[in-house]
Formats: sequence, structure tokens, C-alpha cells
Amino acid sequence: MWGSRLGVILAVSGSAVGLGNFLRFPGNAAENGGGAFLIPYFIAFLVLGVPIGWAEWTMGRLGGQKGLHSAPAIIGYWGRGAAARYLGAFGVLVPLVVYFYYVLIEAWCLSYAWDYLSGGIGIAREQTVAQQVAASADYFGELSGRAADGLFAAGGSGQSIVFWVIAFTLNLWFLYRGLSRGIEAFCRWAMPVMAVCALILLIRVLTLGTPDPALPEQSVASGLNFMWNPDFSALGSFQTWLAATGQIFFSLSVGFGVIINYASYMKKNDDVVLSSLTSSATNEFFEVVFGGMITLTAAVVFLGLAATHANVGGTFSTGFVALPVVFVRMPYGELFGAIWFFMLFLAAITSSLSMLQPTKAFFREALDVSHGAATAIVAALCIAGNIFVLWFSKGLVALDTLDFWVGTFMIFIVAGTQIICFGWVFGIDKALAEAGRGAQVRIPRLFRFVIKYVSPAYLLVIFLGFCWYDLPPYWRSVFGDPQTGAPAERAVIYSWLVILGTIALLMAVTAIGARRWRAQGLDIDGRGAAADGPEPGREDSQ
Amino acid sequence: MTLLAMIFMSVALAGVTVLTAWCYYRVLKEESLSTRSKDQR
Repeated sequence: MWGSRLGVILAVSGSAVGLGNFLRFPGNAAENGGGAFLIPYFIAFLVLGVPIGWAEWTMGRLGGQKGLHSAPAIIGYWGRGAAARYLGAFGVLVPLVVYFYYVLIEAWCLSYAWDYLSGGIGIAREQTVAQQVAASADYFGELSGRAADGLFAAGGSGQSIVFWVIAFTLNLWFLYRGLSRGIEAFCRWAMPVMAVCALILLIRVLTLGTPDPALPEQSVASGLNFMWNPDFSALGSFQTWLAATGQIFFSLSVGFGVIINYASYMKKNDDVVLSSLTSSATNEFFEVVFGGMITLTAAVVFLGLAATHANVGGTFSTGFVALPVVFVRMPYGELFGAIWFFMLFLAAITSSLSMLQPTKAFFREALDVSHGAATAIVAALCIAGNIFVLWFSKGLVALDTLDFWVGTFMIFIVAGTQIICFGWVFGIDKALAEAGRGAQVRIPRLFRFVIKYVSPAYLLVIFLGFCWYDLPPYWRSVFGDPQTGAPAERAVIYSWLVILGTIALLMAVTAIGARRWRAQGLDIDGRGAAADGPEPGREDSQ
Repeated sequence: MTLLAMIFMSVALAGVTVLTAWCYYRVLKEESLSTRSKDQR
């Protein structure tokens, strides 16, 4: 069980606040209408992010009351049967497979922080921006092993392996210490420290003024204008809406199988409505205030508009190529670079911890093994997955493939299953009544309609848009681009095998678990659901 | 920086800041009330 309510809120917030808040959001906004991007962004927050968050917290808490803590068991209960249960297994697949590559990115952040503490990454101050960007890209390429496959030999650098071991061990240690003494205790200090780091960087960036009077366009005002100046014509493009919705969706950690597990350790009458809203708001604060003010502003001040346009956009190019150049040019850049990458490391580790916990809970309850044995199973699977991604590092193809199919595509499946089970199978009135149990704030009645009709429809449209716009270019980049060639294809096929193998394993364990849960007398098909819970309309709210 | 950019930025920053502050105010208020009632018991 969680030690306190604030602890669970910070743990869920820590899960949501990740690299995307600082690196993906600003690039996404600047490319899709600047300030105008915030219109579809906040609409998606209201009709998708907040309602699915409420659904996940509620499903998790009720599941916990029924003795269930893993996504397959809980979604099976809410969806009343085997189909939902097996779809719920994707709620374990997503965090597990995303961890296969996410902890490596986390290790890069720690490695960069260490580099900056020990004097920087070796980019010469007197070079031009273009030369510095090239040097920065080379450094990142060497660290991540983008040049060739293999561990120490041809591709990956020894440094990335060392920091992977450190990051992995830290994750495992906090996981082993358990929910309250491990994850909660860590998030209770990591989240405020992250906020303090972000505040220091924000103050530094906003007080930069115009460092070079000969280049008046490279100023804080220009940087903020680059990020926030609204281009209303972008609102007419479906891709702007897709990008805004995707940003909200992936940023809030909904459909990840994490919240449902975390909430299952809450008490029967613990509030879920305000808690969910608070963690979503925390994520938005980090994203809009810190992500929206720091990254691009600093880039424009030191790189200029043209170089910012050219080098800022993707998460890796922004975080690991463009920003190191910014820190070379910034006074006391080593110090601020160390703070920046340490903050990113904290953002990443609070997220990666949340990926391990649902997987551990699943193996523990499905196989009826001890806490230590479940931790060992998760560790073994993750080591295998990490080594796979480390080995097939050329062009980061394995990482991209896992991210595209599991970290993006399958999240739609989990989120869609959850919202359908919540609003349709379980019944919207009963579900909202359950959400209202112990609630400190009332869910507005309008959300009955939103959760039942708008959220699933919106999700479907966005999913179809994703398939229409993002799948074909992805397909071409893998099979049609001569630059990627045969080795990339091989890594893609192996990545699919890893995904399919993991799905098969999780389905088999779900089947074993279902037999065991039934033998224990647990109501995994939600047969008693009709008799359980408060009556519709009797919301215990303030 | 254009006026429109400033308006959009101010509204967005104020919106998320107020929402976050209000949420934490409610959460912490409830936490302190429940701690006080436990202490009294």
C-alpha cells in the first residue's frame, strides 16, 4: 500500500513527467502552430487525457479491492471476461517493452550529466554553430552506438554500458524496496528536486537577454516568440490536431498500464478524482511552463532561428544534439548542462520505475511467486531486452521499432480497451458512481457524455489518423529508403520477433494467472460486479 | 515578441499554474485535516 495520498500523486506524476515534457512538447508546438497548438492540445487534455485518467484510477482502485493488481486481471474484471483480460495483457506489454529502450535513454542522460560535471563533452567553444552541431551529433552517435551494431566492439561505447548498469541497478533497487519504501520514497524527493532544477534553468534562460548585441534577433523575446507566436492556419491541418492529441496522450502516461496498477494499491475510499486531476495538472505544469519556456528559448538565444529550425524537433536531436551546443555557448554552461541532464535523468527514472512495477505485480500475482522472485523475473526479462536494443544500435532502428509499435501503436489498444470497459461494458453510471466514492471533487455531469461517447470517438479518429499519416512514412523509411538497407530490415524483423515473443509470454502467463485467480475464488470476470459498488447516482462527493 | 504570442503564453502559463496550485491546495488541505483528526483521536 502507498504510504500517503501525496505519495501516490507524486509517483503517478513522476511516471507522467518524462523526456517528452522537456524535449518533445516544445518542438511539437513550434512545428504545429506555436501558441495556436495549445488550442487542440488543451481540448485533447479535457476530452481524452483527464477522462481516461479518471477511468484508469477508478479501475485500478476497484481492482485492488477485489484483490487484483495487474492490468490483465483488472481490465478483465471491468470488461467482464477473457477478451478484455487478454487485451489487458497489453497493459503489461507496453511498460515492459518500453523499458527495454527507455532505461538506455535514461542512462544517456546520466552519462551526459556526468560528462558536464567533469568538464563538458569536448565541443570547442570557438567553432561555428554548424561545426559544434556536427561535433555534438558525433558525440551522441558514439555514445548511443548509432554507427554500427554490437556492444563494445563496433557500435556502442563502453560509457553507455557503464551508465546503463548504474541506471538499471538503481531502478532494480527501488523496485526491490517495494512500493512505499522504494518508488514512493524516491518520487517524494525526486519530483521536488526536478522542479527546483527546472526553476534554476528557467530563471537562467529568462535572464539571458541578448547575449550578443551584434545579433539582436538572438534574444529571449525572439525565443519565446518562436515557441508561442500563434499560426492559426495550422488549426486547419488534421496533423496539428493529431500532434496535439498525441502529445497529451503520451505525455500523461494514460494507456500505459501504469496508473491502473498504481491505483490498485489505494484504499477503498481514497479519492481518485482529485488525485488524478492533480497528477495530470503536475504533468501539464512541467510541460507547458518548463518545457514551453526553457528549451526553445535557450536554443534560439544561442543557435539563432535558422539553426534552431534545422536542429530542434525530434526528442534526440533536441536533447542530445542541439542543447549540448547551447551549453557550450552559455556562460557556466557545464554547470547548467549538468543540472539539465540530471533533471532529465530524474524525469526518466521516475518514469522507468513506473514501468517495472506493473510488470512485477503481474508476474507476482499470476505465478504466485514471492516479491524477490517476481523482481528477479522482471530483471531477467529487462536485461535481455536491454541487451537486444544495445546490440542492434545501428541507426537506433531497434529502439525506434519498439517505440513505434509498442510505445505508440499499442497504447491506443490499451487506452481504447480501458475506456470501452469503463464507459460501456461496466456501465457509465456505475463506473462514475465508483469514481465518486470518497471523491473530494465531483466529476461534472458533462463528463458522463464525454467519457461514454466523445473520448472513444476521439480516440478512434486519432488512431485512424495515426494509421493514415504515420504508418506509410514509417513503412517507407524501413523498407523503401536505400539508406536504411538490409541491416535495418534485419533489426526491424528481430524487433518484431521480440514484440511477438513478449506478447506470447504475457498471454501464456495471463492464462496461467486466470486459472490460479479462479482457483483462489477471485472474481476475475466481473460476475459479481453487478452486485458490487455504490448505486449509480449516489456519489460521495463534497 | 508579438502581442498575440504574449497573450497565448500568459493564458497557458496562468491556466496550468492556477489549476496545479488549486489541486495541490485541495490535496494538502485534506491531508492536513486528516492528520489533525488522527492526532485528536
